[in-house]
Amino acid sequence: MDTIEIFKQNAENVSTKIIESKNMSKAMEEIIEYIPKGSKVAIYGIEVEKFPSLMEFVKKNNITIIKDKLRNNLEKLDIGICIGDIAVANTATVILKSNQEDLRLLTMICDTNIIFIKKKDIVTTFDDCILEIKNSLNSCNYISYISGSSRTADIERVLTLGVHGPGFLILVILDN
Amino acid sequence: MSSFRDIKEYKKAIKENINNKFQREVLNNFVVAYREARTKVFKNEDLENLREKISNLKKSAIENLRELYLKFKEEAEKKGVKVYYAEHGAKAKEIILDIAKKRGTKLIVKSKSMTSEEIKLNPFLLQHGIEVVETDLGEWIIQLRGEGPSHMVMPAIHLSRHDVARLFAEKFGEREDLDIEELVKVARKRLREKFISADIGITGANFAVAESGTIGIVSNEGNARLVTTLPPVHIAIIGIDKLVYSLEDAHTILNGLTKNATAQNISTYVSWISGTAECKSNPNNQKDLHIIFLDNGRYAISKDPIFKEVLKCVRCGACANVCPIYRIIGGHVYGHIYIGAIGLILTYFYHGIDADKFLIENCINCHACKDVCIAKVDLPYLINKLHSVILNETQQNKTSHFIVTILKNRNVFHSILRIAKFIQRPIKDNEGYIRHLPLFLFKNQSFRKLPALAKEPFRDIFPRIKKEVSSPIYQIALFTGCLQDFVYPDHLIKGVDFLQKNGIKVSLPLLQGCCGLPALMLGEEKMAQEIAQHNINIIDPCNYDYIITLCASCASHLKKNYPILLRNKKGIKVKADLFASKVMDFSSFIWEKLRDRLSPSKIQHYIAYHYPCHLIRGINVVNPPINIIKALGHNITKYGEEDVCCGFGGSYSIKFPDISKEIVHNKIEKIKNTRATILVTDCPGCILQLKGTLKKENIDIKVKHISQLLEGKN
Repeated sequence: MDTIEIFKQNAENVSTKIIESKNMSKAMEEIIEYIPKGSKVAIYGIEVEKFPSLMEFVKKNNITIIKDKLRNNLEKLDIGICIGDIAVANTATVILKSNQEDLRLLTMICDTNIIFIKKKDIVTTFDDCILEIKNSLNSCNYISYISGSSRTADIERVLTLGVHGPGFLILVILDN
Repeated sequence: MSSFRDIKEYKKAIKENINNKFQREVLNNFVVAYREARTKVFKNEDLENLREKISNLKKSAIENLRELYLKFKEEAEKKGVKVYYAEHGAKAKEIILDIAKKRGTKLIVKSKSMTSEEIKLNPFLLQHGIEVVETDLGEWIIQLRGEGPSHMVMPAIHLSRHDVARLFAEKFGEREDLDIEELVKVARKRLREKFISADIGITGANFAVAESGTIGIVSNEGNARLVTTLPPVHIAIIGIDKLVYSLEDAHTILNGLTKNATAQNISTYVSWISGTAECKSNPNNQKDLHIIFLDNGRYAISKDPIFKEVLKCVRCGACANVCPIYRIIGGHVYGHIYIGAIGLILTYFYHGIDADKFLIENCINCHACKDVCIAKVDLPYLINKLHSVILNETQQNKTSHFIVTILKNRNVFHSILRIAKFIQRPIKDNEGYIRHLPLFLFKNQSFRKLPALAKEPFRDIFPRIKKEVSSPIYQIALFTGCLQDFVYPDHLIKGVDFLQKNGIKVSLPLLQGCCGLPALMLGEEKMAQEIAQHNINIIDPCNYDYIITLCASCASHLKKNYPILLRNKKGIKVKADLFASKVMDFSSFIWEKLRDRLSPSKIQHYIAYHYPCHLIRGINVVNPPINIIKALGHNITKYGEEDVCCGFGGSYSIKFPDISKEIVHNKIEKIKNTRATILVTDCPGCILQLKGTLKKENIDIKVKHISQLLEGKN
């Protein structure tokens, strides 16, 4: 099985939704259906203005876009959109070098988290990227692995998603 | 979680938990689900190799804790972190209070940290007027209830959704009929407010990586990410045993930890924090990060030649998940917060002898924990060792000392047993079970029928059945074990018969004593050593090809423990090693040497097999008994818990009859629902437990030693 297939299978096991897309523009069109009317959407590391289809959707549906100062939006954030640095197929993990507070908050406080990852950045196992992570430890103060939605089984061992962080994780795999 | 005043109070608490139906059901379901899920998650992993790797890297780290700490400190300080070394709990608490006071702290949010619970941090901070809120859902629930955790990974496993709903109704005026999803939403909303307004976030850590001064925190809920991101100050409190050299080492542990703890490929969130990341609520935009390393006796443990092993523990909680005792009594009758097999040991070191002295008795020595431990900690061995230490300290070993003196002196032992045989006459029923027991001797033993002593011990029978075998294939010495010699001689008669008919010359050195395992289990290590030495003198390994025993417990004790017990005895150690190398359990010997002599029985049965703990985990014998049963043409009937302890454990069932009874009932419930008409095993102790309970319950399943299946074969 190739890396992408392994990735998809493991993602499914942890209730992560996978979308495959040719490029960013196409991807923007595909994620629109997950953004409710009137919702608050935080976007980090992406110049949304470059994607007219998204901008049009935002205008039509009364959507608020937040680009920074996430501390002012801690009570409620519907959608968080950002870019992952590396992904590991074996565990369906996305790795984010997240020095920036806003990036960390975005991936925690939203209800639905959408993360873009480039195909070329997906490796099979942690062994394939451990050196890169190791090197990053000197330049990046906070590295996060995210492998699925925020989950708990603390009440009667019943799996429940979205306890503190996102209850829904969507990973968009980009061809380039 | 508290110390118990006396053993009576401890047993009373146990009894209450045994009667907690909800907890029993939850734990039963959990144990079965965990076992299956764990097998699945390790399917594509070389598990033994992974365990070995984790064990080795932890060992090496433990040897170099000082060096690792200094390296960590150097690297972390370069990145703006303040690093502290706290010799003990009070010191760690003072450091934290000092930081809190400087900041004028009113509210602290915490993500789960066993280390902070170890030093009882929360009550201390509360005393100083600081509100502390646990943010892990389970921890928060038990904090609101004012309880301690009942599992290391799932602290609120003892509570139902109704308990939680009632709690939230009482505390926050929520509806009393909320379902689990709604309850989780309440927690999300209420705790989010706490994250936002907290002055300090306190976490533990799963790893401290020395080479880069990085800490690693694993969580599923993600509360650790909020605790480390939102408040201006982050304090991490970490046991020095969490230090490792490299990120690679940490990753190796991470791989085993999450799989063993919750059967997840990886936990949802892993955060690597190296230095002060951006934090916009501080004027300099940097997190104020403090890392406190807690010693609290750990460094001294790392220098102890025996107990340093415990520092390999990575806190996955698996030793509780597989413990047949935990399954019955839950986690609220342990010493403080450390639960499962590791809890029996850590409680002594971190919370003292009073917290541990009754707890340490409560191990049945089934080795399930040793088998599951991802860091290969030899938990049963350490529990035995610690038991011995505690007995010496508390001098509560007078009764067991008396028993051991009897065990060692075979003449006294045999005379007592012979006298007992006469005494038991009036109380023996027609089928060879004891009708009544003098209650002062054996309390609460009535859940199973106990066998009477045999009319004639095997040692008296042997001269009559002994055959001269001309040009034997092998000459073996038979180690009989007390229970078979005096209670179940038939196992030995059938076994010897088969061996002699198939060209094996059998000798029975009569001066052999008890194997000594009971002494070790009572914490009498010195006696166990003397008994071992005695038996090696009597059965000189140079005179025999093999030493065969039909008792799995004896086999495992002779083979595994003798060399350890006698490791410091010059000269004798050599003999102990040779002796141990020649010891074989009956099934392995038959399968390895005489399998071509096995032929299908005339009548074939549905047979369930029970693995004695000391066979499957004690000496890793898995296939031989099953192969023998199949070779005899019988049908193996599976029931899913073949390798789970029967609850006997020798003196354990006398000490803790209430637990022993529940363990055996769990097992019998499973077997009852199969087609099996015979239950076969390899250990007379298990037979005593299983046969007696089936008899008492009037369940029509025969219990046989594997030697008794070989009847009439040539």
